[in-house]
Amino acid sequence: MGKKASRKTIKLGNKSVKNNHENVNEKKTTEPGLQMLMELKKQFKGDDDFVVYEFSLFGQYSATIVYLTSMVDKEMINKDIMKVLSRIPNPNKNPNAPNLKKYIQDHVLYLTGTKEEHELSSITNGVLQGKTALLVHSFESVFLFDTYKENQRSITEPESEQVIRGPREGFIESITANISLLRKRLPTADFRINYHSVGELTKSKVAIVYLDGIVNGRLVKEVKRRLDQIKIDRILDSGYIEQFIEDNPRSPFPQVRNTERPDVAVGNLAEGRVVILVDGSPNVLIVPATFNTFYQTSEDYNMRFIMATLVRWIRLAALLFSLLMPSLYVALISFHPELIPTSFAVAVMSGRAGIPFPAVVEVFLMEGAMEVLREATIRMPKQIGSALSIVGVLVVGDAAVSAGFVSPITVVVIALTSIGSFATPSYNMAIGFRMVRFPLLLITGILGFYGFILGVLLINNHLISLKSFGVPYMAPVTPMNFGGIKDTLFRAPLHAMKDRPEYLLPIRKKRIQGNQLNKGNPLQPTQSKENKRNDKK
Amino acid sequence: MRFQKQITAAQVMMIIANTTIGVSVLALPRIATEKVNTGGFFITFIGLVIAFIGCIIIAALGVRFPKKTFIEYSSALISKPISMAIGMLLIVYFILLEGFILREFGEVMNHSLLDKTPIFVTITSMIIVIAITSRNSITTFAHIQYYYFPFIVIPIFLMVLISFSKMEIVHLKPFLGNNANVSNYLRGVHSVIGLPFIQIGTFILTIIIPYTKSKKHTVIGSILGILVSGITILFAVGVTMAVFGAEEIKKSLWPMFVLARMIQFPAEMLERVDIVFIVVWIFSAFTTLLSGYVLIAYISGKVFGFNDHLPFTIILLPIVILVALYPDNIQQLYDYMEWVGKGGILLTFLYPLILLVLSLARKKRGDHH
Repeated sequence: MGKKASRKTIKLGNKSVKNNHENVNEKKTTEPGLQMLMELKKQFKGDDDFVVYEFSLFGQYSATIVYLTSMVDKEMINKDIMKVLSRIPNPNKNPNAPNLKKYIQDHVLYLTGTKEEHELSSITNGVLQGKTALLVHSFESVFLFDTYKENQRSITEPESEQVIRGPREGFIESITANISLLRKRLPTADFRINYHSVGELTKSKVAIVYLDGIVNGRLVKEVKRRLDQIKIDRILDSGYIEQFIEDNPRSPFPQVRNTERPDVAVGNLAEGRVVILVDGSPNVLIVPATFNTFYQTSEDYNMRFIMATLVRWIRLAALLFSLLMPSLYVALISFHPELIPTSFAVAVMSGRAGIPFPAVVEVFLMEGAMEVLREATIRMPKQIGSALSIVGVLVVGDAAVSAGFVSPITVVVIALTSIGSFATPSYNMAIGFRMVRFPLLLITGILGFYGFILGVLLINNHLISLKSFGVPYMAPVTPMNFGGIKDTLFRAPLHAMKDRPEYLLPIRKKRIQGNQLNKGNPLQPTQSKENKRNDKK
Repeated sequence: MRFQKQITAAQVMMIIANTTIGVSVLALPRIATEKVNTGGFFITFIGLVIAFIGCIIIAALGVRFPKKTFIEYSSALISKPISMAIGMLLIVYFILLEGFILREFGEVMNHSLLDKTPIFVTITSMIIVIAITSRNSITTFAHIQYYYFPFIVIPIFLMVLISFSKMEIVHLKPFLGNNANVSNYLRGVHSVIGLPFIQIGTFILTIIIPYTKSKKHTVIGSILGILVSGITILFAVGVTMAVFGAEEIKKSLWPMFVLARMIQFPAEMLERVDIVFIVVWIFSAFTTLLSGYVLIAYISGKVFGFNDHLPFTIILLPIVILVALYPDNIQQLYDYMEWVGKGGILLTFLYPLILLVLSLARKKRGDHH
């Protein structure tokens, strides 16, 4: 638009604002802002949420603001936008057309996040995201003010990942709040966020977060590449993203870790992993994930290392229990009773006397019942849930035994199995193991101990061949790296874990340079030279 | 780069060690003592030294052509048709070996765990697990082998350690064997190196060399691998012979298995501790068979001009099962095994040696540019 032309129209408008405005509406004149307004109106036709409010800018120009009433902070629009824009300015500073834009930005509005847009699509998107658009009728460009008002719940402790010792903060549904939780813990300029918009309808905001200079650049590139390839209409939770980006969707084991805890996310960022946040989901994704990360908790690092190591072993044993116990029981009872010590075998056999089914069927039935019960407990309202589990476990179990339906030892085995799977911190890993347990039980039922070992071989080989973003799933056990072992089977003292996990190929390999603690003995000062020196100072 | 070069020396070592320690080790003391009585230990030693040399030959060849597979550089050295013909022979040979090891494993399993199950079921279930696992890349194959290594070697050493108290050195004397002459020795050594595990153990190197990180990794890994497996096997054979004596060993089919049965732990957790060793033998059979299967599939892929080995993981399945089911009984199996193994030495030792000599003489190398 030429300078002359615009000046001309503005002069016209100066004379009779209202009159001119009406004319424009009828005639579809060349005023670009007005044309934009018409097109916006056309797009939001029939949407009662869509508010169009016309007013006179500085008492001279006709202008319109446009917003979606349910998305915006009305107080902010009234106070910070409408009030200042409607005021008639000091005649000395009377803005003329060419620098009106600059005038508004520099002297009138005190809002950050104000943008200038020309494209209809970006304006529409902005309005959809809760922005308020200011259209000056004679202007081509449109101002977008960030007036989005977020409805969010307060930050609470995540129920799925509770700790005894550690922060009580958890992620919530708002992506900005989540990022602020991360930023608060990582006050470093290396913190990087890349936003993507995924989902044709939902246009969900997906953020890739990483620490520049620590994480391997190729990993970040691959994450972006996979996110860009997602073609779907809606993303309602990070679970949608997970299913698109995981390496082997047919595997029963999760290849992406999720967490609701900011401290876990930050710990992983600092190790050189990438965190993916999805707007509207309190679960953030962590990639790449290896098997060992699924039985670790944030608490492991808050506890003293000996205790943490022992607890980790217990957890690992529980995980293996949940997979192997029922099959091992079936193999021993129905195929190789000669392996059990005699006195114990007699006890077991007498308990099984009069049971109509073979051990496999018995275990299958009980495991099936247990799964039903577990699923029911999740769906039940909390108050009923506890009652149901008591009924299920105590009454049904006891009744089944006294009815001669199952043997007492089977009930013990099933109970151990279930408790084992509850002890696994990661729900999606626990459910993987729970489901794999059934095929293993089946093959053991057919081939006995031999079948059991074959099944274990298959599961092992599958786990080893899995990859998460190119990282072998069983790293650092195989391929072995001794630095990594410190944080898998063991939890080495914090000062001993000097390197970041090698299998992530981080750019900065060392976490810390030299970490010698010098501990004095302040109450018996004469004994150490160090303290003497300190005392003199 | 053509391949992902990721396999380290440690992985090469464990692949060779896992492959070499197989079910056949169970029968090794018997096979060694059959010809020269108490000289069995010495014969095993000589056999392993020869295996070591064979391994070095293949490693030396591989180092000269670090980017090519066996079939590729052999056709560069001795015209393509000859190389392909020998490649076919190798495939047939290894299929026979694979089938026989599978059968031997099946017999061991049926003997120890599943006495009423038909051998077909035991064999088929195992080979299916192997075929599924072999559908991975060589790097993953190396990771899998790496994982099982401690589960195989540590229990065997544990068995050796526990059996030390029952050992009587008298059983090993005279060290060079009584009434043994040179021809007996030669025949004995021939049978030992003809054992399938040594053949596959050395030849598996040919397919992993293109994927190793560097020449250094290949050489160190292969030397260590054959040393580790050699020492393990020697110890196990020595202890078995020292506990039972030559005459006793000849009577049992799998002397080392009997040794495992004799072990008792102080705490009575299990009535029979040998179940632990059965697990070890299943693992070691699995690793040996997996190496064999991957080896055949890769060579077949190259000989028949496929891009990868995947189609052969399925095609091979029925063939190997058929071979495994062919022998009527275990006696026949061991006869066949010996016969095929002895013949195969030409292929697995002499052929690489000829190739190495040719490559040295014609100064052909594949590691330039």
